[in-house]
Amino acid sequence: MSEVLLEMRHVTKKFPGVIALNDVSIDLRKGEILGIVGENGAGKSTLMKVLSGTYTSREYEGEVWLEGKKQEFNSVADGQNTGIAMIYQEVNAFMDSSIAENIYVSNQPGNMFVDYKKMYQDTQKLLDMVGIEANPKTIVRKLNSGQLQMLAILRGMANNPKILVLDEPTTALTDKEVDVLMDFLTNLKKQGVSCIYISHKMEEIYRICDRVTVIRDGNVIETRETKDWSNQDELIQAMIGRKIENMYVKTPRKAGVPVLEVENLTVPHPTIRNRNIVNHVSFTLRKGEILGIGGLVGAGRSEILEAIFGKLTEGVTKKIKVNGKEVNITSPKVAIENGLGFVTEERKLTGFVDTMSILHNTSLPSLRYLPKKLFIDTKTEKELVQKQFDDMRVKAPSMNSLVANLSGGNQQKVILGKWLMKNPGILFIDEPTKGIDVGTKADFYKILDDLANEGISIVMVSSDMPELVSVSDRVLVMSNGNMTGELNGDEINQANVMRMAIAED
Amino acid sequence: MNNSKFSMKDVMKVKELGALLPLILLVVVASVINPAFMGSNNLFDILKTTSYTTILAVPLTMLMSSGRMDMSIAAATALGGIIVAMAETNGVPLPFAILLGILAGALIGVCNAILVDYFKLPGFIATLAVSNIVDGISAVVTNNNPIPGISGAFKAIAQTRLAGQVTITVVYALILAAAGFVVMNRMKIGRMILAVGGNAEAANLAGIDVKKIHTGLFILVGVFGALSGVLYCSRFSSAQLTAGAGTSLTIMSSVIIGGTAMRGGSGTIIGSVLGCMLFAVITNALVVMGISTNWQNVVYGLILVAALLIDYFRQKSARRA
Repeated sequence: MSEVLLEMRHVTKKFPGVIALNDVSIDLRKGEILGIVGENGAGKSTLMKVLSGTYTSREYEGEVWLEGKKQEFNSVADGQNTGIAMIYQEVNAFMDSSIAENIYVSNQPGNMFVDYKKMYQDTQKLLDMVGIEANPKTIVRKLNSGQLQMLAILRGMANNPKILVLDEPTTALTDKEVDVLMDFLTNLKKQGVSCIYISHKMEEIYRICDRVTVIRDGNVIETRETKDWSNQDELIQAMIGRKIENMYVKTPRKAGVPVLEVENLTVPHPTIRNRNIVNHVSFTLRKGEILGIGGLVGAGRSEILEAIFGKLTEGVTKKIKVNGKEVNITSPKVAIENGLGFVTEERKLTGFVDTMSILHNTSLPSLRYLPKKLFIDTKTEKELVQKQFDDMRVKAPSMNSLVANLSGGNQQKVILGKWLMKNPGILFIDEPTKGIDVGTKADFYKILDDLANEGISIVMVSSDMPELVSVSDRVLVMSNGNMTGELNGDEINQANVMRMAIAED
Repeated sequence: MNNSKFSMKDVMKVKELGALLPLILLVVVASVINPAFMGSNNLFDILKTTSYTTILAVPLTMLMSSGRMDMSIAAATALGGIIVAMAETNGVPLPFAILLGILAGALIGVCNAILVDYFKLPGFIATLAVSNIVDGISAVVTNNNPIPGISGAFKAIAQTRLAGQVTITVVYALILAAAGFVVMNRMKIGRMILAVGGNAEAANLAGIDVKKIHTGLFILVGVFGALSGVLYCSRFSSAQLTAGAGTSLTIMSSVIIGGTAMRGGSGTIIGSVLGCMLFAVITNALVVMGISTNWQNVVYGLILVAALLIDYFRQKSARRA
């Protein structure tokens, strides 16, 4: 066994109300590729932010040791200088500079003046190494997404790191490009560079990782040699295997007639050309059911809701029927006219108007439908809002309080209330309980269950696995923009969702 | 014990204070230094000045409440007056001449809306560019000369006095301010304007057509810009290139110091009227106190800085609340 290069000892990182990492210890050996797997929100990114110096050494408990020396990073630059190179999912390139200028950003060769000759030569060597057929002087905007991802890796390599950390590096790559990356990493390993490889793709993990660490709910569950994880199912079981608390309510109910039929919904990818973030997706929502949509972050789940609701329109193709009648939803206004409501994921950004009170926020979607054409019938408005305020049991001094001053759970109740005041037949909810404490979560599950029993049809996107499988009457799973499966009745369990969520198309 | 419902903190929350307090202070100081300041002639003069700016400040308050600004007001004023005067002196009946002016103002608003809301250009620069173009057009069509010779009916629009003292423009301004107040505080559209200014994306998701509201308000500001040009033209009996020159910034300052937020989402018509009055009083007081008019711009600039600082601190404390 080769020597230990990096050790993270007993790392604990707390956020208000949440323990993101709980006494996590991992080690990385010289010339090894360590896979780290876990669900969305398991704590992988937080762990890497500790390692990179994004969180300074005062912001977490525990220690980071590199080559037998304790490290205290005060900035990302400190982490880079000690030889840790982070490569993130999103590519942050200088699009209008050359490849060489992108690779050598803070470390150009030469003293006072940049030694361009050497810079281009070194860049060419790196390009040859990963098989990018491009000139070092090529402007980065001309590269395709795969080449951009490789460029990000080269940028990391320019500092001659001892450790390369890759977070989901292959989401934008084609199969051939994945092969090149795998060969490249295997080569690096032979040269003694160690690598931390974070991925949801089990095939890649099995292909190149020497050992695999499973993280779940901020805890390290287990680290084993890859060959000792007998199969993918065992890994998936380890990733999701938490006990489910009894906070979910699901009344047995029968779904009614179709209320929303979506046919061939396609949404182009916002940053990658010639790719769809939602790819020819079709489904039907029935009256009084809770339809869950599962999948990994970036699989295109939120975009489905946004495109149907008319929030996303550019390049979207869709055929939508509401209550059996074909409708052309060109804007949220039209969606609301057709009885749709949408509780968005980013409630602070899109859920409410922060300069307005609970009263004014709650009545906003219904404003147009209040009696009187031009003027606001404040008496009716107050009565209707008061009903939602009471039904939702919002904890606030009064209806005139600013929504911005409420807790996350109460804000979410106001947002839900504002849609219910409009009496929607169909309600979209994106990550209903994100950032909400456990007690309020239970309130929400009860509310959702009641709504479905009253005949409101709900589409719920959720990354919270236990929530998804416990609340939904039916689950659709997305992977890379494609719908990879539908689960009914007893088939709805976390292992099935996970298997479909990481399915290759 | 707890009878005093108004704490100092509550008082500080009244948005209009930023204009009201300095206004009172200034009136006191000016009348002490020169008692002629409180003379009825002088006070009616201040009201007249206020009425001209209020006619622009009311629509601008609505636009800024929705999160947009417009630097082309002064240009619309100049062009509006010129077009109406040119049309009328060439035989177009007065109502149709005014209609032409209104159309020109609306067109300026449409240009602003297209640049800012459809091409997403920064509002300050885009409307400043439009302002430049409009100013240029005004200079070209008039060849830098005033247009005299307007009819008596045209002159009567702004020169009529009620009860021998009050200029009729004060009545126009009062009616407009009252209408603006009702729109912003009682009508559905006013609530929508505030929602768009507070959080455009949340407003969009709540079914409000954000672009339509912005476009409508840009047009409104353009139209009233042109109408104020008609008033200036009537007041001075001729259309002039310099009508409204430099007012874009002072009117924006009036609106901000009155309590309307730069970032949108909150606006007060009463505050804007007070802000306009503050500017009128300052200009007047400088004269009455015998201070050289060269200081005017220095003072205007300082007020704008003060208004921006007040806005900054107001936003900061609102976020902390």
